[in-house]
Amino acid sequence: MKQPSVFNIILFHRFRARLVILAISLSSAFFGLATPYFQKLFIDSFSEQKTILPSLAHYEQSPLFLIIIAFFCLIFAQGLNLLANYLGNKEAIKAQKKIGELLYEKLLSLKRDSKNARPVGETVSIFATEVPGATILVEQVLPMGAGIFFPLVLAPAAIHYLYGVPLWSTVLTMLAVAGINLIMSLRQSRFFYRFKQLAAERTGIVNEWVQNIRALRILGWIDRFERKIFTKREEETDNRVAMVTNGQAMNALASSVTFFINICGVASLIYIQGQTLNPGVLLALFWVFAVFLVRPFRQFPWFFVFCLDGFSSVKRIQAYVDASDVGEEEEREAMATEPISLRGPRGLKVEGLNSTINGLNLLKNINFEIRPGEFVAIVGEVGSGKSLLLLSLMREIQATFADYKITFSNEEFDALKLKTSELRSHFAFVSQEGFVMSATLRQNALFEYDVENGYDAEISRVLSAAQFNIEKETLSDGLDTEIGERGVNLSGGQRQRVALARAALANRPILLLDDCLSAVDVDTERLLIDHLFFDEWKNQTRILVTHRLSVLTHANRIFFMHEGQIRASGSFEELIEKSREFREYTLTIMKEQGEKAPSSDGELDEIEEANGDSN
Amino acid sequence: MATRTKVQFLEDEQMFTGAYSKSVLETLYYAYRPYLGRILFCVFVGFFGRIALLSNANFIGYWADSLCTAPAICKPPPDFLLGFTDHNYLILLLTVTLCGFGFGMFYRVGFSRLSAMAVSHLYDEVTLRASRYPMSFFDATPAGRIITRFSSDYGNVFRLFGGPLAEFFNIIFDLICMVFLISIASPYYLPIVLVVGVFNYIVYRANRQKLRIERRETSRLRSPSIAHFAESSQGASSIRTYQKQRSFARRFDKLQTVYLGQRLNAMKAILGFSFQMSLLTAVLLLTTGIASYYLAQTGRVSIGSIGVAFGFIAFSGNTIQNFFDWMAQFEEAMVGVERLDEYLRKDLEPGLFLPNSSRFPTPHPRYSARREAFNREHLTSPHNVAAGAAIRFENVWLRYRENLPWVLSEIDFEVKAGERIGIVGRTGSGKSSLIQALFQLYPLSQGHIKIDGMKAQTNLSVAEPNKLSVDEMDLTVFRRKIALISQEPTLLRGTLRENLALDIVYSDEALLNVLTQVGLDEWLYDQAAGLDLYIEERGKNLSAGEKQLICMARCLLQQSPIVVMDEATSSVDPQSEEIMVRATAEIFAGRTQLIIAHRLSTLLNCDRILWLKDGKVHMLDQPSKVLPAFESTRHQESHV
Repeated sequence: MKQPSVFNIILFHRFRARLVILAISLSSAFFGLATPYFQKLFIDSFSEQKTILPSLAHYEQSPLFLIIIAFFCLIFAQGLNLLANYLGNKEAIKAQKKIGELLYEKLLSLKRDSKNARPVGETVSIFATEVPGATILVEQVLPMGAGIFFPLVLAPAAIHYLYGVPLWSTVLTMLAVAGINLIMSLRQSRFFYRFKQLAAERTGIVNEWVQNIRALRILGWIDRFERKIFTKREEETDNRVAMVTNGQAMNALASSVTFFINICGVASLIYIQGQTLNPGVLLALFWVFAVFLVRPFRQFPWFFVFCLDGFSSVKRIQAYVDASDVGEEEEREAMATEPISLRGPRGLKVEGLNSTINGLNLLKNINFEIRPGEFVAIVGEVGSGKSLLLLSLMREIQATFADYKITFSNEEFDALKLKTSELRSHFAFVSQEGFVMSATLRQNALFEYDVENGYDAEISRVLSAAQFNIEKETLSDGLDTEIGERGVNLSGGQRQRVALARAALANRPILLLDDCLSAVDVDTERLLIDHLFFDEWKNQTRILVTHRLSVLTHANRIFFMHEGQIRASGSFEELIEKSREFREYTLTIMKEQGEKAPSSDGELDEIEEANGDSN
Repeated sequence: MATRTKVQFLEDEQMFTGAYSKSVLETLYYAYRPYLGRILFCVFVGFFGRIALLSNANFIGYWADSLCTAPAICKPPPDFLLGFTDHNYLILLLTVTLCGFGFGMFYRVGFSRLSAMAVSHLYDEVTLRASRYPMSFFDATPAGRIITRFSSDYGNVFRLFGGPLAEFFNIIFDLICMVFLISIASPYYLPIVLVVGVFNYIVYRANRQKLRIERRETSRLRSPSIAHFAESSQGASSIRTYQKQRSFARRFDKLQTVYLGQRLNAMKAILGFSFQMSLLTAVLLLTTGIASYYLAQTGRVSIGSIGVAFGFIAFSGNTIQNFFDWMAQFEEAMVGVERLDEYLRKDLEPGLFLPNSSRFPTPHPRYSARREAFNREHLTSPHNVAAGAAIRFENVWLRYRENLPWVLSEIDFEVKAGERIGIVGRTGSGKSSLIQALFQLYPLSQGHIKIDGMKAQTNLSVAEPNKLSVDEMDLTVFRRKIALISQEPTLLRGTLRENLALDIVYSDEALLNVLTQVGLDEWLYDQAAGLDLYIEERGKNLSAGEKQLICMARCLLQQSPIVVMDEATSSVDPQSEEIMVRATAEIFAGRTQLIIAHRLSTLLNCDRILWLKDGKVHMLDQPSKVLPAFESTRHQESHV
């Protein structure tokens, strides 16, 4: 799909506003030049060389009038400059908002398996640093441009016209300066890019340090880890030192270059034109170079730096925006559609499910049927495709189906024909990490920021069914307690239980639970099975990926997965009987867990015997 | 949260207003001390460079005077310039400009390099201290807030104390030079400049508080939008399943709008401030003009000096303005220094020392070179750990903070060297706290824990912190004697080699040896990078089993006579169960073992079982006595 161009947003979004800023900064530059011009007239009025500047004969009688004009010109120049700055900021903020929205939508529309998905940190840094970096083009470059280039073009022409200073000498000098500036700016922005990179890397290490401080102390690795931080810090400082060296050299040049140009101008006047100097010419040249051009020359190199940085940020953002996915269009459509409300349990009929990600065939010709209200457990080793199976049902990853039906009492619906949002309305999903956002417990349970009141009783009931007891978890403000990154940090088990409560509140016909018991302890697991799986959810279809044998006997059926296929399905007893692979799988677990087998001791012995026999 | 943040914000606000404490200046002094001589030299050179450069204007003024043909407003140039030709003047100008440029370059580059390096030391020193804060600090402070000190606070300081500080000083030079050179040209202008300067200061004072609040408000509102962006990225699947994209997008929009709106507000305040300053600059121009007019009328100033004065005022008219602009920025940077300084002064965990190489002379305990060498020696020399070590808990009481309930009380027992102890108890009974206490991660409120009769040195004498008494050992040495194997193994980003041993460089052979012992040898042969295999954050690119085995190998290298196994959350992966069992029976056989397990069967092979209940030792006896008793209560409780 065609992705919007970030560069277009920066330059042409609200193009008229851009033009207005340009016009204002141009008039600011105009008044900026008029100020010293009138000042000069004022001073000339004291001397006898009144013809140095094209004077306005009318005002010559009153020098005070000239200085008052200069005064107002200065106020206009500064005022317009600030106005251009303000508008530049305002537009930059508008552009930033627009690009922010663009990135956010992109973020929500990139699927799990996207090859374009990037580490969270990287995506966040694009949003947090590159977006403001890119809008610098609107914020700084636009208002700055006119103020720099107008005087730079005007000065040599004026001096040539008025005093006969040869054009080539000033233009050449200025071009040489511009060339040097450009090279130094290029270097500067390279250092700057590296600087951002190193700072981000160092922060990454610091983050690891803070997160693992306990473990580091236990291991006694504090010293060495610090050295790791310091090494990165030194690299950063070295780069920084090189960067300030270049930047300050640039500044040193910028702040003295006007004096050199002045000397060149005067010299060419004396030696090339052979003119006799008079105080007026001397002061006027100094005036033009040292006063008109000071600010433009100071800002000149930084103008380049801003441009280069801005463009490099735009490029990085664009690269992220351009990363498009096969399913992106349908995701965008789903984004704009409300879920439909469904009551009553649904079943699933899947035939010929395949999924190939990055060239690897991870789900291979999967067929199954799940009856409405059934409790199915999916087991198998890590990497056997259990989670992918769940995700493929929700179109969270790219997958193909020969047939995919959703059943409801006696009817069948073709899931392949459903819109993504309609399809997803059938499912509630709990991931292994148990996603929790920075918000109140209430908002987290409802998974909604704009919470309507009146659900508290229901929320509390469901939370306690999910074994999340507010008093016991020491959350001081009850449902109003802020949890997540910016509030109370929950443990893995707590997060899973909040996510389970969320799934319960969503009240969808089919529950997809991806190893959501991994971080709860054995006692809690038992309570969850009793109160949630077999009470709260007794009428819903439950599909649970798990590693816990203890859960398996509760399930109506078990799918045993291996290398992207369902190798066997049936109740625990049936599977034990018919699948050797499953027997081996459970056996290793049972041996390791050493606990009683979920069924009977006798059976365990039988399996062992059977195993022995087959060897 | 909204209210809480507000309160915290206000607290911060109170903390950082008013004059900078003496300690901040002291901290800056510590940082700059090694560079002080060089920096002062740079400043000296820079000042003269600036004078040389700006004297251009004066010399041009004299040159103009020397060319002047209207005696009424001309003064002859000073004696040393008498008889100078145009050529001479040009050479003179070139000389001063070159000097000015050269000196200026030397100063700017030299100063900012040294300053950048000096400030970096501040970072290192703060890190050294923060690493050694009590655990309770990390419990009570959100990680994000700690990281901010090292990212954006330091970033601000680092940025401003490099180039911009040189620029700031340059502006100060300009101000001094301006006063000086204007005075030479004609002292009449001096009062005007001074009065305008005072007005600038008044404007600055009037705006200061507002600017501060706006800036702080901006940085406060920035993080929620970024945090929301980050968590949306993590929870994208959940958001899509529940079809909450629009709710989340609305939230994003709201947070972003609030932040960007505030940014514009802050901008308005800054621009408003600038405008007031600009007005003053214009007033300076006007009054200088009017004064010149009257002074010229009365013949008190020459055309040259009017030119010079005006040159300066036009040329450095916004110097005063720039000065106060920078001033506002440096205030922010000082807030950053203040926040770093705060982290420089907090107390360390009792028993931890700063390394001997630490440079800032804060009153924290610091290792003597001798003791550091001794610790190092202890770390690297081989130990015989196969026989384990005895542990003695002597009436240990522990609570995490002053007003919190006791998590451990009256804990008093002994573990013999090489004994295998299982620890059971319901959630919240103190199992984890017992381990925390053993590692002395929290100061014991009462009692001692001894390994082979020696306790960790946690009460340092102020006068002689480096002196150990007979029954004490260094806290880090104490901790080294215990290895922890948990089900959520800690892996850091870096190579496999680093993850096995960050602290000591071992030979490849030694590393291969431990990897073979835990059974990872074949796995290692499959890794193209071998020991340099890059391990991602939290070991994402490894399976749960591999992660655990690597940690096991790490424990073997660590040569700890005591091994603690914490099966905190029951299994994630059945494989890890097997590994735990192997660890107790084979890999760490013979060492003293403390095992926390959910599956009681794992504990059958223990010598004794410690049953914790409400932070007290409920039973400590043979498994056959403790386990059945414990199991019966467990069943009762879960069926209530």
